[in-house]
Amino acid sequence: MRITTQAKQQTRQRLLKTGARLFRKRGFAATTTREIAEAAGIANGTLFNYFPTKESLALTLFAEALAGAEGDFVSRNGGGSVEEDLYAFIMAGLHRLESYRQYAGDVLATVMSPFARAGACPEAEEMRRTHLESVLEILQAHHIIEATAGDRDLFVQLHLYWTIYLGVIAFWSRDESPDHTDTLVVLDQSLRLLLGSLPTPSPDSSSQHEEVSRD
Amino acid sequence: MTDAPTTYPTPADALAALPAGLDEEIRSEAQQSLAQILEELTHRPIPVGRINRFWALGSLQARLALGYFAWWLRKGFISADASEAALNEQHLRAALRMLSTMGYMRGVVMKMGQALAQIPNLLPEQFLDVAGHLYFDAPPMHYSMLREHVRNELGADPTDVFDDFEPQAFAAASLGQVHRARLKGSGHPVAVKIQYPNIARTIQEDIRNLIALMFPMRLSNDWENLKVQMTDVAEMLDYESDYLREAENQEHARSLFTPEDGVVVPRVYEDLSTRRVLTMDYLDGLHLNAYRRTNPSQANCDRHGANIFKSSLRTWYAGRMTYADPHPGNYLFLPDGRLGLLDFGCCRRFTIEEWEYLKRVEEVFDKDDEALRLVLAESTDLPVERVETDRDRFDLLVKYTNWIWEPMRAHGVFDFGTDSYLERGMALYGEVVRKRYTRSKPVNTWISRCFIGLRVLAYHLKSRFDVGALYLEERKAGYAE
Repeated sequence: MRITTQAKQQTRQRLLKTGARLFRKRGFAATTTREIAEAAGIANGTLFNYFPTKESLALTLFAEALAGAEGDFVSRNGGGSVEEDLYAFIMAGLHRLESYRQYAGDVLATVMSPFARAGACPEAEEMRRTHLESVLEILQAHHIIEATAGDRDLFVQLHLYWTIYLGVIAFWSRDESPDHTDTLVVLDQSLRLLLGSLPTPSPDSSSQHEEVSRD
Repeated sequence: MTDAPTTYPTPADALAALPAGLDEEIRSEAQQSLAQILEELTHRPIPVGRINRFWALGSLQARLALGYFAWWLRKGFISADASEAALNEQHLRAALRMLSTMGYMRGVVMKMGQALAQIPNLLPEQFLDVAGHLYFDAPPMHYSMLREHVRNELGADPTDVFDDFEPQAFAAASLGQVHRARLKGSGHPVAVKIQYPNIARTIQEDIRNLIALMFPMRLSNDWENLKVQMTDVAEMLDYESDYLREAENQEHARSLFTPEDGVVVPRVYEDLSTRRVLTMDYLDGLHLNAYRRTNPSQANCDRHGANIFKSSLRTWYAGRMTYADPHPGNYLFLPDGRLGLLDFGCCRRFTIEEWEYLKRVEEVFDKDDEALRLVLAESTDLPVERVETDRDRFDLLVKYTNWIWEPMRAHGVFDFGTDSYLERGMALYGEVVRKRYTRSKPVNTWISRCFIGLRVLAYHLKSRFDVGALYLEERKAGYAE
């Protein structure tokens, strides 16, 4: 029997929804792909046609949420300092990830760990790439990183950002303070640390943008 | 309304302020430690164990703390004799350790800064200048952070809750920053005070650290009393971080004044206030320094000085609380001649026991020094016998109390603008501190801060008025209620 694109899409959505529900209910580690498939009403093997691992299923949930965050950021920001823009961009993502917070840390610890094998999880690679592209855009708009920056400089600077970003996500995923207030402070401190280590905008560009706070 | 900071004490200033009589080895070690601490404070990595420290905001405060402690050290060593050298070395090391911690202590350091800045001639001029700017120049939260915080507190973005919410703060305080906005619908101008996230929790932790770090510096049997006083400070700072409590104080104070008083307390909007956000009427006026630059007439200075005292006496007698933070940032001189009172976070409501104690103190206002000595024994929590055996302490405290009461006993216009009155008081206060006669009931910390602050304000205004008559009038009305 031939399966239509629409039916495939529906199955994929059902798997994502079921996965999210079970992860939330039972925890990420305790949920198996078999249970997800059963609960979604499909054969276990069929699930792998859509998601090779449960991590990739979870990351797909995250990636879709973060795609929405990009829209939130663009519609509500602009004109602020680089620090404000990065802060708003990251917070928009955390808001979109809120419903996955309970297990986001477990998933990311597995696939986003600095020790994770490169290429082991294509969804993670894609999420990282998409996120860093947006960050690069913000940094370039504020002339923190010039479009002409060499590959090595770019790599180091973005790697530094990514490491700090993962630290913030890790903190947020375990933050028990009311309304995650501690995360607001940690993100602020982390961005100050990051921006303090990045190059100062050239005098020409700084006249068009607010100076980066380095205190 | 805000003056830009002009100078900061440099490491060289602080190092130069170290006492001249120090053993060379100790001095060298101290200088190295100070330099190292400053360096560390400037490039401090994230403190993993204390992630809630405001380390990134600390550079100015750290420099100030450095200045204060260099001053403290100098004062301590000036009065030292050779036998105290070893003990002083220990104190020095402890102070350096404390200083290194204080780089994080945003709220506490700023509070200390404000208290110290109230006292001219006790601090080197440059530290006073910088501390003065702390009233208005705390590092702000940027709008992205503030928006998240307000959303948590009020349930929506500031721009959705208010009309014309200004993303840039127009004033900063030790615990928060203030933004202009308008109420939805009416367009009424309001000031929205927003507290830095987490500061309430860090305050308690900071004070605990401070007490722990001061432990090696315990100097005498007064250590326990000092600890009680610091714990009381911690409690008050904790109160101050609760804007709902502040709103309650503010509304209480507001109820004490009529339009004829010429004193205005902004109305609080409870439905737009939480423990961390306080919305109130916006008052348009000038702070002290800006007001003085307008070259106000003597009559206006006299009226404002009298109103500053009246506001304090009214809250004391009719309101049974002390407005314990009378620094220039909390007063606004309005274009219509009224005085605006801001910031009721640092108000202490007297307990029944405290009120009775204060009445006992006042009962000797018209009596001789011997009667005052007995009350001061209670005030210092020392046994009455000490009045005889500790004459130096009680003589000094009597002089200091008489200095406080001098304007009220003047039977006519008192001139607060002369240098001699304030200088005498500061010299006495300095002697009290230097001799470590600061043992006292906790409530006195706040009262003393209030008394000195009021006199410093009146001095800066060069005010002349009959404070004695004002005092008797307010006291009579307050006791009659």
